[in-house]
Amino acid sequence: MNRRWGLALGAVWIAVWGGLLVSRRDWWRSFAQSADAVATASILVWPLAVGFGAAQAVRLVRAGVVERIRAWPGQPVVRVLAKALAATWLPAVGGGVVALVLAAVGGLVSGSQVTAVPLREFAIAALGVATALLWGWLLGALWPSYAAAAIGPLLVYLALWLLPAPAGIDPVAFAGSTMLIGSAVELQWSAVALMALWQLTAALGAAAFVVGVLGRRRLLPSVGLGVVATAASVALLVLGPTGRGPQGWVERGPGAWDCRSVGERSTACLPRDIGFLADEYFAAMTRGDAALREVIGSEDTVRYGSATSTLGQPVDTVVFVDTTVSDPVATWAEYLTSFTAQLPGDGGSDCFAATDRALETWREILAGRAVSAEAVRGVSAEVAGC
Amino acid sequence: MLTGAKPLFLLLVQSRGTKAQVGFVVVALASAWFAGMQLQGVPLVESRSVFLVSWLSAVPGLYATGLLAPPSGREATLPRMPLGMHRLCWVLGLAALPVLLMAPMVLLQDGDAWRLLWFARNHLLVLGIGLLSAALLPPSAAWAPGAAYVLFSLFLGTSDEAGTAQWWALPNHLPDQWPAWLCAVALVVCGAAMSVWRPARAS
Repeated sequence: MNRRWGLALGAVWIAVWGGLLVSRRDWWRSFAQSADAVATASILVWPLAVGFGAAQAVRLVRAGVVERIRAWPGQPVVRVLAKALAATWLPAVGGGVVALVLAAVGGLVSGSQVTAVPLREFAIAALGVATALLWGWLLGALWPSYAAAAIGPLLVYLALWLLPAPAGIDPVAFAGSTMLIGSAVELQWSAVALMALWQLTAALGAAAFVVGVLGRRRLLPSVGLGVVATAASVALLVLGPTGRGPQGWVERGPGAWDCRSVGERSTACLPRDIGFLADEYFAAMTRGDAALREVIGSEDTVRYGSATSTLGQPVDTVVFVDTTVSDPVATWAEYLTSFTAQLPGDGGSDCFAATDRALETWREILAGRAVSAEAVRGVSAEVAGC
Repeated sequence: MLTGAKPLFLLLVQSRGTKAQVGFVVVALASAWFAGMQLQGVPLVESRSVFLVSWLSAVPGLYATGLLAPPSGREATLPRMPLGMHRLCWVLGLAALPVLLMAPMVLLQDGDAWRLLWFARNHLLVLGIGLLSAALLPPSAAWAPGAAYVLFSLFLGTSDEAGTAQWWALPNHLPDQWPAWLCAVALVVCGAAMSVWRPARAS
């Protein structure tokens, strides 16, 4: 039965991952995005794991197994708990692994850079499933009604959903690179270690409470250990990367970026993860650079892209160009328009209309349609200073 | 009936746990009171929202799913009638109570029948799923289909910031969408009928 629940949880993991990809057209082609979706699925997998853990404990209590456990010599509750946990956790994590493998296959097929970086997020997501199962056990042990299993997942989901705004605590802060599609980022090892420690102390705390409540033997040491471990876990949650500590996301080095020359003194950089956009991107940036040089001159070295570090090659001017998957050319045109709007100028009389004209012009340039140098200079002068 | 013996219906209600059923009333009251029409942003995904009422209305139905299983197998050894009819009455009570509790609250608050309809439809929908899964699955797993469906609907069941529902996420459908009503009524009718003929398995 426990293994079946684990398989069900694994199936849920795959289904949530699939649902996320379906709701984000073409994101399966980016390995970083689809692998991050595996970690993002924690927001449903963890709550349901709490429900499954609670149901396991309620079943044990209602079947009268707990009385037998208490009458048995030694600490059989630890063995029962470990066995049930392993039987549920392993198949559940298997579902996550399947999703991760499918994400890698999708990435390889579409020319995305497949790396081991997302395994860091996945490790925390997987540890979180064990923690959630154990806290579910505690919920079921304290409230031996299937209503606990039914209502627990929704309450946990609400906590994960609503906690960040008022408390500034985001338990799923490790799942976040999907917000940064045009960038190549990774979770720092220090953040991974802190979050893993947070999960382990939370799991230990819950396990100690469960042993105390169900075993009723050496209650005080169990509850004491539970209190200490839970306090450590809360401290890590509040002060670590999930709370007030630094978030832990850092930009990856030059190896993660595909940088090419797009003009005499210009380069453009795109994360290798979204390599399927490379041809379109570098062709568009070549056309964009030729047009922009009409405005900024040909002296400065320029780099286009969303990298915030120097990537080992300092340049005079950085033109920030982020990327979307759904309509990349329009997005690049918006960033080039924003760049020209920041150039010195009086802003003109109607910035909205000027911005619209500039946006349309940049779209035409990036799409490869002929636009005269005068037209580029004209719309750029109109929008400058807006 | 033996002199001094409790009526069968009362025994049935007591067998599902007095405290747990008081909890159901409290949960139903709280859900009904707070079930408003505000939009809330979905976590971790951009530009999608869900209505507050669409998930709060699912809470009583989910809770009720946990009450359906009898505590022992004794009930299965009794004649199907009249116990089946008593069980049906109790299930209809679970279906009606949250809606009846919400109606005066809506009148007191803003008189918005729209959210009362939304609440009633979703409560019936989730309770219907719970009744069917309680009849078909072991009690320890009966909660899972309803809980998973509600969570999926909350997280993936809208397509924009206006809370526009995906076709499959019935709790997010506006209350004037008849397919969602049809599903809700069909599920609760089938579930109620099952409670007469094939009750939830003992836990």
